[in-house]
Amino acid sequence: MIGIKNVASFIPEYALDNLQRVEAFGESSEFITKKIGALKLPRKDDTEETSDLAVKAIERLIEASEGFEKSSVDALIIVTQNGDGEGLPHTSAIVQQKLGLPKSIAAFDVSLGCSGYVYGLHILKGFMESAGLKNGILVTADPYSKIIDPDDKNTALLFGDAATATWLGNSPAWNIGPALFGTDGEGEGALKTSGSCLTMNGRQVFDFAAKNVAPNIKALLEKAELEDSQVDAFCIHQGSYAIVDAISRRFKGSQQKFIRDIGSTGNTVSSSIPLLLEKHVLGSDCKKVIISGFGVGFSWGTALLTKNTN
Amino acid sequence: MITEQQVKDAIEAAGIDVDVSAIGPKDNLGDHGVDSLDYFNLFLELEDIGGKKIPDEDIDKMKTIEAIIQFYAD
Repeated sequence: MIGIKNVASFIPEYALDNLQRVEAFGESSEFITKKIGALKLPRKDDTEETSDLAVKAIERLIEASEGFEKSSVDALIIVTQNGDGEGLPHTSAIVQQKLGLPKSIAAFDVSLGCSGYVYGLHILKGFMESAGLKNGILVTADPYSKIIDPDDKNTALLFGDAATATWLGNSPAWNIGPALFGTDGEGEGALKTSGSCLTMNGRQVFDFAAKNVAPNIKALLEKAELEDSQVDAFCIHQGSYAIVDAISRRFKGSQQKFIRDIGSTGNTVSSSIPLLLEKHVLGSDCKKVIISGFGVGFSWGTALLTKNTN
Repeated sequence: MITEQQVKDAIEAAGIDVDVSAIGPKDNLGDHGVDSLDYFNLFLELEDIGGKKIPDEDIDKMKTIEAIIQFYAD
């Protein structure tokens, strides 16, 4: 059965300092430390493309994964809504060329935002199992610095650039599923690009996340026949501390198991969940982990990851 | 219709880190440290209690407990 074998990431070294910038937006440093959570916002170099971030994440994955060779990769998915150039051709094709991956590879992009990792895991797992493929890579690389208006208070203090790469294959470290997904296109105006810039109705996004994500996680727990007390960690999308807190408050007794780690990265869109997995779950004592991504669309997805003890 | 105590309970239920006993009905909530993200949480709690959503265009008017009570009385 296909599952997660390893996760690696690339986070650009250069970062904006939110504590130095917050006053210009009329907010306090406490607003950053207690509500947003993001002290630093990594920024890719202007000369770097989305595919460059993806390449660096994949190179780190291969370096960190014994027995995993570029020549053995037979599927590549890149989750992004800010791909190279103007979006055509697909960024995964560019990455195939830049990394010298086999031409026999199946490579395509998935257009999703913060829910993209949960969707991407299931798309790649299903694709590999139906096609009989052995080694797949799921990349998240969605550098919002391409579309942020630096003067827009709603977004300029939130989003950071990062990319992650997840190796999927047989004899995994983590099994994937079950999962639940959802979509509500009524949220299309809440997060969108207008001209070439991102606009966000913060209240609408907050309301959507606070009202929908906890019930989705609870429904997934019921589907998996689990109580929240049996889950070791909840790795939910790191929209902001305030959003994570608003959701975790709905889980009395398990609130402390919701990981909050956004300080050095900001909201990295579809990369936030795999960043948590890499840092807090792989190599930990956790056995059951809930992942939940939610955002632009609106779109959401929640899944159970179970450590493979075989 | 909601009461002053219900608004204060909503502030606590929203996880807002303020001393509700120190807030008078005419006090500007911002002066007690309630920020824009706190308001998002508070409005969700009030929506559950009062049964209607405060529209985006009325948000700027909801600066005091009295204003919130008035909104739900209308």
